[in-house]
Amino acid sequence: MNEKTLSERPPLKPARGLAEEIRAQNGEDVFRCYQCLKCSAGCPMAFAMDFPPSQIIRMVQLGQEDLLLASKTIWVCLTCYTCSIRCPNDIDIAHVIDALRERAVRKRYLPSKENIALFHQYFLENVRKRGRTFEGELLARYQLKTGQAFKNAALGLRMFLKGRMALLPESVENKKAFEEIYRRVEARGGRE
Amino acid sequence: MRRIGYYKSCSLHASSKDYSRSLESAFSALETELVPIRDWNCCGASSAHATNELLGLALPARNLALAEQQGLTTVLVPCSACYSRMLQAAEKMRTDDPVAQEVNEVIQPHRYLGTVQVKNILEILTHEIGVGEILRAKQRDLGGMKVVCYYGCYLTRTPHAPSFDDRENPQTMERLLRLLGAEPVDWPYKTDCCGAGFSLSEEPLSTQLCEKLYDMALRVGAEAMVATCPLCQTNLDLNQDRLRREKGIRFNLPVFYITDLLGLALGCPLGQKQWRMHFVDPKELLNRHALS
Repeated sequence: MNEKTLSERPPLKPARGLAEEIRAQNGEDVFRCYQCLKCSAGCPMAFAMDFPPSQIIRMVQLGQEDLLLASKTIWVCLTCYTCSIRCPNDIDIAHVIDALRERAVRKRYLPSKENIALFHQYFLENVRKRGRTFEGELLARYQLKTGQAFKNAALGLRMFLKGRMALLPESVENKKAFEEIYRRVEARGGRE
Repeated sequence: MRRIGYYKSCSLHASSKDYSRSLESAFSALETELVPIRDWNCCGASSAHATNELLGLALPARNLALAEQQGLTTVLVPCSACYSRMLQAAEKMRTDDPVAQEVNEVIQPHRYLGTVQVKNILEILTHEIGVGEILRAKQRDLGGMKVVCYYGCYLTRTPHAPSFDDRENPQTMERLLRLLGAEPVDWPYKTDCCGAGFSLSEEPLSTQLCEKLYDMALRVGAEAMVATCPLCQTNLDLNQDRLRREKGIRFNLPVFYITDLLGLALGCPLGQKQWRMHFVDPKELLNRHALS
């Protein structure tokens, strides 16, 4: 490789900021990673990711925020914690990915896996209303939005026929007081 | 009579009503009173911690505070996902004062002081009730039914919290079922993820993870799978139905809740009402082992 090619490349500017912010926020220190790749080897969802967990950690070290927040990986991760318990350096990798996902929502990045992001959003809105999930309503609302209404109406019906779908919602005693939890969380830094 | 707190969460009221039925009937045979947490709320499941850490702590913390207020020192959390969220919140609040303070501000007027022990179904059965007592209450043998025990992700893998059994090769369920007369078969996928979290949003991914599990269960000669988590049970059961309808593939592996088999051994009247809620019908298997 000659000097010219090197100088023609856009300079890679490692920035510690992202990693430091995550450490301050949830205590996970990505600088402990020495790239043993155990996390990526054991990840059951690696086949569906654009960057395996070990690369995600490296990218956090280098401060590649844009790539990270737009990645498929942060949405495809199921938080099964296989990586987290196997990490020889005690990095809770799934917790790092939680922090990235939270950041992506807060900074309004377009989720690369829209259906998954939408499911989380609808699920939390469902709980917000009554303090408890109402599966039937969640299913119907989610499927109308994602255009799988027909296919999953069938799923809802099958669950219903098996006696596995409640017809009426349940709720906490004081719904207004419950919703205050959501409001206080939002007041402490929701979406930007 | 022994009293234990009971977090009977969303799925045990709806999509896994059958889990609460066999669980409650087994506990009554074991002379243990389950005391529900009054005015409980959803733990936030994956969606809360996945997108907002504070909400992911606050929702379980409200339940912990309510249990504490009721004087419950030990709480059974049958759903593994809820168990993991409740355990993580309890551990975090016990060990991190600034976070505990912030969470308590968010859930006021409730306040969690940190006195509740969060336990899963296997811990309660083997540590609180004890195998001796279960054996004394046993009415019949499970007839050597060959099963694979499926622990899934959240029973043994909750980071920053101690695990009640080995994280990757737990044995509690096998020991318990062997005592009840089943024949648990060793297999390598007992803690591999079934993808229940994507059973609505990314069906093909969850089906793909399940297929791998079914395939291995059959290869080791299992006749059925046993789960402790309502979300795993539903996903493992439903995906077989899906594969049969969409691809014509039949695995025919009934998926039991641990308390289905415990209930059978304790002579609980489960019967048709229980089995008709399963997508993969276990009747033939139960007949084969003279358990119907």
